[in-house]
Amino acid sequence: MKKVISLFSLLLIAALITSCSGTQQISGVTTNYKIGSGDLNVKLLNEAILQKIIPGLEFKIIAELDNQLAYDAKNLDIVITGLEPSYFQVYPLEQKITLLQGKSITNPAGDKEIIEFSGNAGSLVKSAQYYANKYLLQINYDSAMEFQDTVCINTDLYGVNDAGCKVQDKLSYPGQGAVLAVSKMEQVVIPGSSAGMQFRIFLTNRGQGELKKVTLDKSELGGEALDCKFQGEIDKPLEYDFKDKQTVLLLCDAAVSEQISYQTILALDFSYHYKLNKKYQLKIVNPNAALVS
Amino acid sequence: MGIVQALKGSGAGQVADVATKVTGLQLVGKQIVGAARSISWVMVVVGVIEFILKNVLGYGQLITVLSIILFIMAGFALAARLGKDKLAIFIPMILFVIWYFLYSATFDPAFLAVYLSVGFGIMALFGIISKGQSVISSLAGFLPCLVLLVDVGYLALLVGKVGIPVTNFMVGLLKYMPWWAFFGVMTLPTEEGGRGNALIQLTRIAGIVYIVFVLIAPVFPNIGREDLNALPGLAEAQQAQKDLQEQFSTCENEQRSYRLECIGQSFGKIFDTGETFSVDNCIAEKTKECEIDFQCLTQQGLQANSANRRTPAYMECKASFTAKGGQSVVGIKDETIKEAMTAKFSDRKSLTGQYRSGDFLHPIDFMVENPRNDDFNVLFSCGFTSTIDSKLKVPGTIIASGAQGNLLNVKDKSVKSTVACKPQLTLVKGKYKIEYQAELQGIQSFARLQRAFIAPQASERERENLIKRIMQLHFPGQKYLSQAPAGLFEVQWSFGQEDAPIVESGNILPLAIVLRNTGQGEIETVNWYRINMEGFSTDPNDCLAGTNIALLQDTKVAKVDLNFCYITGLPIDLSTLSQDYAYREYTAEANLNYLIKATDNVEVLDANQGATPINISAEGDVA
Repeated sequence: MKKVISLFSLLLIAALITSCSGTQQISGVTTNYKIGSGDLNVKLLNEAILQKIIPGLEFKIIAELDNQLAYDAKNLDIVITGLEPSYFQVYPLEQKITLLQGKSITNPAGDKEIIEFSGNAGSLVKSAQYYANKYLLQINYDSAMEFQDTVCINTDLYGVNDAGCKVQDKLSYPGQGAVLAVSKMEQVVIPGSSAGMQFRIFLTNRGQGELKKVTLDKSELGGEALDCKFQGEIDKPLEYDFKDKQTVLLLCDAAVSEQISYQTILALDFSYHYKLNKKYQLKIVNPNAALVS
Repeated sequence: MGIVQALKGSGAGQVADVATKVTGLQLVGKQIVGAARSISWVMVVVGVIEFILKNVLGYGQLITVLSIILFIMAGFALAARLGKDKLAIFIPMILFVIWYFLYSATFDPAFLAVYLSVGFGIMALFGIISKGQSVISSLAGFLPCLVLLVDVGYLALLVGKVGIPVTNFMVGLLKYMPWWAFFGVMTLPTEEGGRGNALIQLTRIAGIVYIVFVLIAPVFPNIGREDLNALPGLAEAQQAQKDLQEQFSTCENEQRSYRLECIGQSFGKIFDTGETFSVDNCIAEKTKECEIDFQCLTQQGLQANSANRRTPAYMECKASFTAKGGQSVVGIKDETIKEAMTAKFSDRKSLTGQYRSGDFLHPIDFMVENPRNDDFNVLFSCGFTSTIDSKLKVPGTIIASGAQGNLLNVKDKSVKSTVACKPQLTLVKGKYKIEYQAELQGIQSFARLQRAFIAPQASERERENLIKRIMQLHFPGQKYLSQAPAGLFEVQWSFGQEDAPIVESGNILPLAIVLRNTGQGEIETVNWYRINMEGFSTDPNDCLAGTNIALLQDTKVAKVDLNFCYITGLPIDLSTLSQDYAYREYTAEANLNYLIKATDNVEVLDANQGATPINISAEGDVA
């Protein structure tokens, strides 16, 4: 009995931990949406019906796009790929949405939009009971992510001259309300005459899709521009294509002239292109076969 | 025992013997019942059965289900053996099951890092709550997981893929070790736990003897890895490495990894759809593909890599094997079509086949299942041959119900006709073999084949990712093969690489089509075939259709190679794609005449011997 109680206690603790790791952090009366991870949620509203399409009849694919990012999603391009046209004539195969606002104080739920694709079902081959066709609903969009943190600038490596703030070697972050997230940051002090600091920022894809192009639009330390580049990028140091990588490294160097330690704001603004592939299925069923069975 | 003594004492020797036997049986029964109370002992029995079935039948659904049952039993056996913190044993087992089945045994490092952290976190919490007492139990819970992996072939995978040298010791383990029974033996209760049950003790001894035999016997000639006393020179080591690579490049050795792959597919199929999946067929096909691949690479002097497998030389070689008998084009049954086309004669068991007169009608039933309502004719014929003198042949006349003369038109889904054969000359007394023939004129079938056409990608990595995504979405299992409904014959065809259904613009693609005879008769003539691929250019031009194909006699009962050619150009909508890829389905159809035969025996008697009278109505129905 004791063991059973222990197990349930464990599950309860796990449930509590899970519920605490949501995307909202309440501070006073305001909600900081730019924390945790967010995503552009896509779901089909009539998925069950699309598994029982009658040959020769019309159907509609109705998808709901729900922006749960803390940032606007722009230039959305929704494409259906992988349908066999002799069975499913869908039109249009591509639709565009200019803007889906992200979650904010003025729009706490985020924008939702419903899109429809009309289609005609073809015929089944003779005596076939069904035809199933898996396909991709591809959603391409542009969005942004902002990162800010207060960091300690202190080039006195051994704390001989200064007992002020201490540089945190490693910092972890729960995300900034986007699929692109600064997950970790390391600060490296460069002491000596050309003293400075290097910020090693780990960017992670927290979403289900592909990060196609990430651009660093702004990088400032206390209002001063930082010298940043993505690791391995030479031609376009401020752009990076994640491809199938989950994490990439951004290196930012700052020259420090102050002898004494101080705290200041590190601010980075990113924009990115994202591609989400959602797998679904259309199924034509033979009504006669269904009646027989 | 008192009863036995009493009976013996009374001098009733025979009765006493019977009583002794009964008591002996009772004793055995008591032992079995006692042993069966131990789940470990049950596990040994079920484990041995599973091992025997696995070796006799090969991997299949039954083995999969037995493995899962044994996995669960192993948890309880372990819990019974350890006797404390039983719940903790199941934590790693549950985690393993979730990872293996829900997450498809992914080795994604990011996922594993999170999953293992959570898993070990839960175990650690459990350990803290139990003040460290559950740690051993938690760790022990990994043992059933390990045994499950080894039992389904992960050891073979390590041997085949990682390149671990195959020692006699390993051969012993791979071939002869009943892993679950071994687990059962190791967890059998001790003297106290087993309450002195002799059967449990016997099982333990027999099990240990067998395990020792498996472990030790094979290593006597050359204990484990050979010649480890002295380090070999560099050249020798390199040669050994080369030899080992060659050894593992053979398709026989690859079968071990195919087995794992196919078992994985079987698991997926069972859990996803509940449908059957032949692991043995899957292994056989993969082995055949491997053999062709190996031969083509060797012939062209190519290294085994994906780039070389896209070279025209390699593709040409593979296509020639595919079309010209090295290995035929293969196809699978169309799972969307449940009803098969059948046609057969069925003799009437109630008839004796004995007739008083040499002028009689002998009937047989002919049945057609025509699920697609195809419209075709059946031409019947028959004849008699004396069983004493095979040169004595008498032609017969057909009278068939529902037919016009000897021609029956079939349109309906199910057609039955009684076909009677009458000798054209009066038969003399004697025994005859009667042969019926039904030529099905113009029966049709088809096969669907799907392919994905991809646009050029920005990088090789993106290309590979796209191909991987398409394969997962559209071509799971063997969906890259042509799919034909079950029937008297099947159309089987392919274009591009059979096992790589992704088409890239600019490549020359081999195309092959065969007809496989899947019925009991013969393919008489192929009237026509066509492949519905409008817009494709081929070499030669007339490759996508043909009429009146000449057949070789020996191909009629098995397989007809219809054509082999190359696709040299794609339609404009597929060569300039607006999307990442396009998914298309094509159909190949064939129309042929098919001959079905049946024989029966009849006997013409003397008039005074008596025989079965036959009456036949005007429509040909025989009463």
